[in-house]
Amino acid sequence: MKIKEKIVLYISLILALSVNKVCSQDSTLKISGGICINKMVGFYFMNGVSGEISTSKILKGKVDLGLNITTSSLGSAFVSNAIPVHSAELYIQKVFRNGKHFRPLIVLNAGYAKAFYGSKIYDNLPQSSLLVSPEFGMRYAFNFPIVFNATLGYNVISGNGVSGAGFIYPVYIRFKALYAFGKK
Amino acid sequence: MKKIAFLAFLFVVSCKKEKLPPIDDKIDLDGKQVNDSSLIDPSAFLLSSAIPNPTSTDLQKHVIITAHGFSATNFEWLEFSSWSKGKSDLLVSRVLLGGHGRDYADFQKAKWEDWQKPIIDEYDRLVSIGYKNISLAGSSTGCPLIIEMIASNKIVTDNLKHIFLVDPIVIPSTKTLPLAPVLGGWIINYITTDLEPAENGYWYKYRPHQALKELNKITKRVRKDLQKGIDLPAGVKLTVFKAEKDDAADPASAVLIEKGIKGSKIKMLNTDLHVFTRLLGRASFSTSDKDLQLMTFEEIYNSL
Repeated sequence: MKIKEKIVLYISLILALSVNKVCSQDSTLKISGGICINKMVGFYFMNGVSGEISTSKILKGKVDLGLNITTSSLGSAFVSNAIPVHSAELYIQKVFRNGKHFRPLIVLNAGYAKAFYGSKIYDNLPQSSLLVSPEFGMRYAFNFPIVFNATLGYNVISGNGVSGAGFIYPVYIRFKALYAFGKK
Repeated sequence: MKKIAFLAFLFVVSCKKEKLPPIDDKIDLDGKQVNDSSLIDPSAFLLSSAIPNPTSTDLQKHVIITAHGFSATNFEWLEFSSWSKGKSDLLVSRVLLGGHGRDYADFQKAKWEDWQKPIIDEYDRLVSIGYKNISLAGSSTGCPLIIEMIASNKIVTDNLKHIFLVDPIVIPSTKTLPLAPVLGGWIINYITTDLEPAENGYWYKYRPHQALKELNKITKRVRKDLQKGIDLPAGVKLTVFKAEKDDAADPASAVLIEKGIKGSKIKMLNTDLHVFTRLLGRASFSTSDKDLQLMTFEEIYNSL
């Protein structure tokens, strides 16, 4: 399990370094960042941050690449007895009707989630899971550099607690508020 | 994995838009002819009916009220009840949950509060008769019903000593259960379960979407209660016995109970049987399953 965590960490690091490099030399670069509120239908709120970039150097700027980092510790497990679950996902996103206020979007996320059951007696239970989820929904772009996303997603991998981690529910609703850096 | 695939298959198969399942009245508990025996002869199951006028010695004995799981009957606790006959200071009262053991229409109509009511009623009756040492034992869905009784202060707990939870369901294994309120009634009407031949007549074969919705409600409610934290009443102990490979009630249910009820004792057990304390009616089980069952019965008794 630790290897998977490391992979996610390295990918995030590489992404961050690439952003940094591209940033200094690319005028088509768009970077947005903000909050991500995530509710698995029938289960936890997992909240955190999201960031995304697009540049003409990646698929001619037709898609955005992004990262969500969410945790139940900022959601259902905030000052409660819920299980702490942390997740990191990379995503590729296509937004349609750019330039309009309402913009349909489709997203494909892939990542990793880990729960902390808090006792050795649960060591035999699966406490981590890969995440793969298609997502679709709508973006609203304000006249100022902020967008709201409301999307519905489906976790392809969800477990019964025996053959896969039981804290990942299939259907989820996600809301993001992102600020586009460098825009006026 | 096979079971999940099978459940998924059943889910798809059950997606047919027919109103009523093909109930076989002669065999299925869901039909009009087969009913749980406790409805005809409560005195063989409920202590309050069996010994309405107990002696002062009886009143000092340990009493365990058992509550079975979703779609089951008190058959689930038959082996424990039979085993308890060998203990002179132990009495067992087997409750049939409301809406259960009757027919499909009754199961459709019943709310989770109806499922729970007979547990509360039997507890109250035994308290008013004068029993001093009462414990509650739930299996599967019987467990969230008991937890909710405590969280919502539905019983006076002065005479309550211990709560035993066998394979409690707080997180269902089937993660599509929260979709029952959305899909129920137009995409699915019921879900068919595969029963062993010897289980026929003791479990409902068909699970109406209304009942699934209630199951979703009670598990969700108890998860919320546990998130907030539930205080065990003074002097009451709680022990959870959880199968590690239980593919009906997610084993992580035990985690939520441990986190939500401070002081609870959790025993994770190496078995893949859901409600491993019931072996009767299963197509097969091993000697280690039998050993675990008897060990758990002993542990329950010794904890009293």
